[in-house]
Amino acid sequence: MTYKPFKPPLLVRRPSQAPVNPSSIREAGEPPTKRRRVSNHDEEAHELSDSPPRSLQAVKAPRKPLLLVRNPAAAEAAVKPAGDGIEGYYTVLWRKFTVKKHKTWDGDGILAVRNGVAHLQDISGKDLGKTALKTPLLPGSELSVGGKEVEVDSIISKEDFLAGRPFLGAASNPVVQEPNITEKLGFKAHAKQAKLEAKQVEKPKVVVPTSKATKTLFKNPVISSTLMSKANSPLPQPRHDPDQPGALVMKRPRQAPKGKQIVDVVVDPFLCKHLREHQKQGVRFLYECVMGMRQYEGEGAILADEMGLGKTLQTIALLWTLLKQNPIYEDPPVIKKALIVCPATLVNNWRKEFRKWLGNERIGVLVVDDKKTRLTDFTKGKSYSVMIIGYEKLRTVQDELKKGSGIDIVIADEGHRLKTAQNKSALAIKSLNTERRIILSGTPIQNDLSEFYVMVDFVNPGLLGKLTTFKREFENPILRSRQPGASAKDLEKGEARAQELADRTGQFILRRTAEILAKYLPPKTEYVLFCRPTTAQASVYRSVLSSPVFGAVLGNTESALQLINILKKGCNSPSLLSKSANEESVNQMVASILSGIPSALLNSPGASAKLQVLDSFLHQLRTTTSEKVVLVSNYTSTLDILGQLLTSLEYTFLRLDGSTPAAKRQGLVDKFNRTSASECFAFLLSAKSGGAGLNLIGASRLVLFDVDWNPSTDLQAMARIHRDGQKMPCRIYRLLTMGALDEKIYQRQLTKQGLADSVVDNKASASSFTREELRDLFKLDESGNCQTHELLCCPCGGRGNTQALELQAIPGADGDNEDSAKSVSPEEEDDGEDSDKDLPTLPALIKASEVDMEEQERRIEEVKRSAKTSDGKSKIKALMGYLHIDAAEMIKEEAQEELEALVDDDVLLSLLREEGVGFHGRVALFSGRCALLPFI
Amino acid sequence: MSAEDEQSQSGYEEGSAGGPGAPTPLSALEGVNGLTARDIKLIIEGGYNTVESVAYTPRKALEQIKGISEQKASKILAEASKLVPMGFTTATEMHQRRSELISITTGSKQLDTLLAGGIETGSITEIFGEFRTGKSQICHTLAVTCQLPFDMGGGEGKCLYIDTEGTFRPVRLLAVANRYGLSGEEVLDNVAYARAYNSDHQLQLLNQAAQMMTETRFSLLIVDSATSLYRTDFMGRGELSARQVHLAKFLRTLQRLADEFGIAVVITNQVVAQVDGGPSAMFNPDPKKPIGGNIIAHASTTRLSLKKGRGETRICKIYDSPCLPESDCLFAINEDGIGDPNPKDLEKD
Repeated sequence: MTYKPFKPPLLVRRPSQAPVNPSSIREAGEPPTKRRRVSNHDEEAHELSDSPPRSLQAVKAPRKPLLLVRNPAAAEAAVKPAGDGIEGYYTVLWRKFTVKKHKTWDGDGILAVRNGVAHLQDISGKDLGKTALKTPLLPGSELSVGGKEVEVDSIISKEDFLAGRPFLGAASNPVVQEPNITEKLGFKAHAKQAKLEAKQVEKPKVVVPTSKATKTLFKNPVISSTLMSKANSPLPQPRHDPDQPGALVMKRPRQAPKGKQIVDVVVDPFLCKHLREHQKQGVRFLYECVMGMRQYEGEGAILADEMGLGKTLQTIALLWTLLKQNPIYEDPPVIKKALIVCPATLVNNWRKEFRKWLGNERIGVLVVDDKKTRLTDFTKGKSYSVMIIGYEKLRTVQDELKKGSGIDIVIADEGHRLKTAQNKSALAIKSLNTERRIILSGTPIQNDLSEFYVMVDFVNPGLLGKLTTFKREFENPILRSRQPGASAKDLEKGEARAQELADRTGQFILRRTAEILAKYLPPKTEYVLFCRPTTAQASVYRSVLSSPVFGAVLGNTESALQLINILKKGCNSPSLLSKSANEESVNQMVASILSGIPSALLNSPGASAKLQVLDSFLHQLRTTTSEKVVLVSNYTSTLDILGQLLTSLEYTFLRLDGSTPAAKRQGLVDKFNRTSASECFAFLLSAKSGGAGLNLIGASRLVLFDVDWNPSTDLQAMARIHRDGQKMPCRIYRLLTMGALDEKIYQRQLTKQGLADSVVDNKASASSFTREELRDLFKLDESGNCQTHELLCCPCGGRGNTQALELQAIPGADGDNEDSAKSVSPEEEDDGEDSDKDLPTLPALIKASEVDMEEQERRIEEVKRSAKTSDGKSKIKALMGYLHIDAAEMIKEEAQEELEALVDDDVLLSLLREEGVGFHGRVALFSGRCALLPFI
Repeated sequence: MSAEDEQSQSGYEEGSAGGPGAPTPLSALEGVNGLTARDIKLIIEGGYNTVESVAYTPRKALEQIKGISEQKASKILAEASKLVPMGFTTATEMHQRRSELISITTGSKQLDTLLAGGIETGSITEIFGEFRTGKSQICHTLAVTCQLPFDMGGGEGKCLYIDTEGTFRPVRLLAVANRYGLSGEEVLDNVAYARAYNSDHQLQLLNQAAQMMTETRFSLLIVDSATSLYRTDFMGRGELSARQVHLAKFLRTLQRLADEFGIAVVITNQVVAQVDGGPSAMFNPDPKKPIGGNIIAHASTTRLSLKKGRGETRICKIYDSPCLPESDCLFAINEDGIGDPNPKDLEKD
């Protein structure tokens, strides 16, 4: 039963009428063959002859002979009478008789068989013996000649033998045709012969059948390669095709070392296709600097492009090029190990950028973000060629980094951190002994020329001499020439020095402003909202100022700073003051001031004007749009309050401040950018810790809740949303408490920026305040009119009267121009608002289609020509580029429509119109400027 | 046909120009000092396809080839030795040569770092571990990465895959190919696969492998489990010596291929539980030892021990190596082959 063949369990009965095919029956009766054979012929023949005929087949199939039998008689008949015997010539192997188990052949020989006698000669022609031979020989047959064992190897032709070719070692062609042996065979020998023959036929040539495909050549599986195919030409071949359209080919070195050739260095098209024109320029610039092809000593560079111009991508393109290519043909790549130092927040951002542009597999990037990372992986291993590390971490590992083959290039991201000579991170980088150093910074000059010197000295040591010399020869003359009462001589000297400095450093500093990006980025609009303080706020403010300690404080800078802090907090929210009083045991002065404030005021929840405005703004934004928002503040305590506000409104938010672990920061940013507004509406950002480098393009609105002394801090924060990748038009809101310290700081910011380029009085330190300045700073102006607006002497009356605005704006804008022309720094420190200050404000906001660019250019020229010396107010003329709108005017019927068109922001408009909230008129004046609108 | 042949010939030349250790085909000896085409043919049939392989072979082995006499054997050996540098060289030169040695990436940066760049060419790397520790997965990933350009950490050559356990899955190759942006079809075409059914067959396949390697460029030979057939083909202590000799012969052939063609050889090995413990049993509750004894231990240049980690992570430890320090690392078996484990903090949130 067990041996019964498998039958398919058929339920349907077979049609009985069908004629029975004998072969099909046979097949059904047989077990199925397990394995498909290569050919069926053998099998069938085998089967026919071998297997006993089956019953059915035996009956129906025509009869065949059961076995193939040789007819010996036929063979016998073919044998000729042995007349002159057999003749044949063979190559053979011979050996002396041996009983060894593993026999080998001693040598080669020739066996000549003539007249029944076999003569054996070795390969040199020496006779070895002869013997009588009856049977013909086949390759493989063995015999004994002259006491030697002989095996026939192959047959050679008579001609070859007679010509003596085998003895000469010439290639002899073994005869392929089989000699007609059978006819000469005796019957006795036949069996042996047949066996030999059978052996030869049976012998398998290949043990394992192979498929054809295994013999195919190696095919390069890479689908799209940017590499140039290797051609066997004597000319050096670049890695990538330099002739392709858009290929970025680097400058060639002037001469190659002896015996070497120069080859084009071409940026990988894989990256190059993503590079914009200015970025290509930047990569070329960096390459030339690093390769020492520019006219200065050293191999360092400063890339000072503004935020959002793609410094990261330019750096990656540079590194990728240097890591893979060398202008000297067949030399190893220029660099092997690159180190990127950046703030801890950006470590993961860098990693992501590398992954984004180069993918996961091309380049090994080691990120040092936890203790477990082994530095030897980078210094000694082969698989990582780029290391990313935070500034703080670098200090702890600098010694380890010196081991191994060393580091070939250092990139210092946000390099303005290295602004003092004693900076430990800077020292750590210097100790690595790397010639090639690149500083990336969006805001390279923050305070004064000495910082600039330190940065230059960092990338190209010794280029500007010693610091003392620099101060004497450059800084002081330049400063002096910028003083109001500078003599003509000073002026001349200062300008010459400034020129010299600019010439020297211009070789390795590249600065481009965001203007270039205008055509790629959506428009950015900045709104400055002056919020009239609430009564509670005002009274807090007043009580601080009227406190008895206040007068004493004015002379003391340290206390003044604390006072400033108190007032700033008061501007943000009075409740901050009560908290700080509780938490820290602040010094007596502060305590005594605070004690003077009625605690009821401090604890009133809605006491802050800015918070009120923000509250309804957020509400409007959340309910009417699906956009997301970033809230920026300098204080974590303010962020706490903002967080409370968002929680009470039941809006979801994320928060990033100094206490957020570096490892989590990128995750937060990613989450914010990825999710929709309903899942994650707001992002709370601390300007100090997260201000630089982060990429928050998921939001299109940003609120700066307070102002910083340093305008670049605010600038950095604002650039978080307005950067490459942003799809929506950006709106940035700056909240200021009107008449209070906020506004004063803002004015100072503007002043600073108006003069930033001249480097004069750019110090933000409180030590430079005079008593008068301080007094002015602390004054609370409750006149109800916007002080800033009054300072401008703008006649627009808060109605955004742009006709008047233009007239006013001209000299102001020009004053700016003049200053920037005098700039000693290679980059142009922009004023806070935007980059296109050179453009005069258009009479009205009009659509791009209507803008005549040429006309605009001409106007700029005119403006320049008609330039008059800037008056005292020119400092804040930057604001003239704004529309000035008094919210009070909004309600008036006749102005409403016009103003609404000017504002161009639904959320804000509805905010301004909202009367029910009761803060109507709270926003006294707001100025908006559609910075990039002309380009849309 | 002839045109194609010519092209293929030049193709190989081109490929080998940049590649390591391009071997000389044995036909280069034809006509030299009376060596006939027939002699060459006989030797090739005997399993020696390149001049190098002849030069590296003891004379005794050549004499065993059918149709080759002692005289001829010494003649051909002498000629081969003239073409292959086999004398002394300086350590400087050796150092230089080793620094140019190509390593094939494993797909995981961590693992590459541990191995100082990846699987070394010209030597045998043994990977052992329990089941599900990723041995075969590493093999599958390597079968693809060995085809990558040098630039991306590959070997720019085909892969020869000898499978004894029947675990070869081309689908896995496609997944890896996809990750590297390779054409799946070509990747599969570039893998020569053979299933070995017994230990003799396994050895026999290597002869054929040598033949194929002379014809086109290979960069990697994988034997996914070199020992599994030996475990059952030879029984008990009685056949132990026969088994070890056979295994040694197999490994020797592998080493010969690695030397001759400059390919990387990766073999996997199974483990055996140490029932009676041994001295370390006290500390290790479940001691495992690679099988094959000293023969395989001596034959493989680098030995890697794999252990299972949490989730898809695996731990690789350097068990023996001439130059790597004893250390370990974590890698992961991902959808697209071997990779780095995800940083834990990214998984959360």
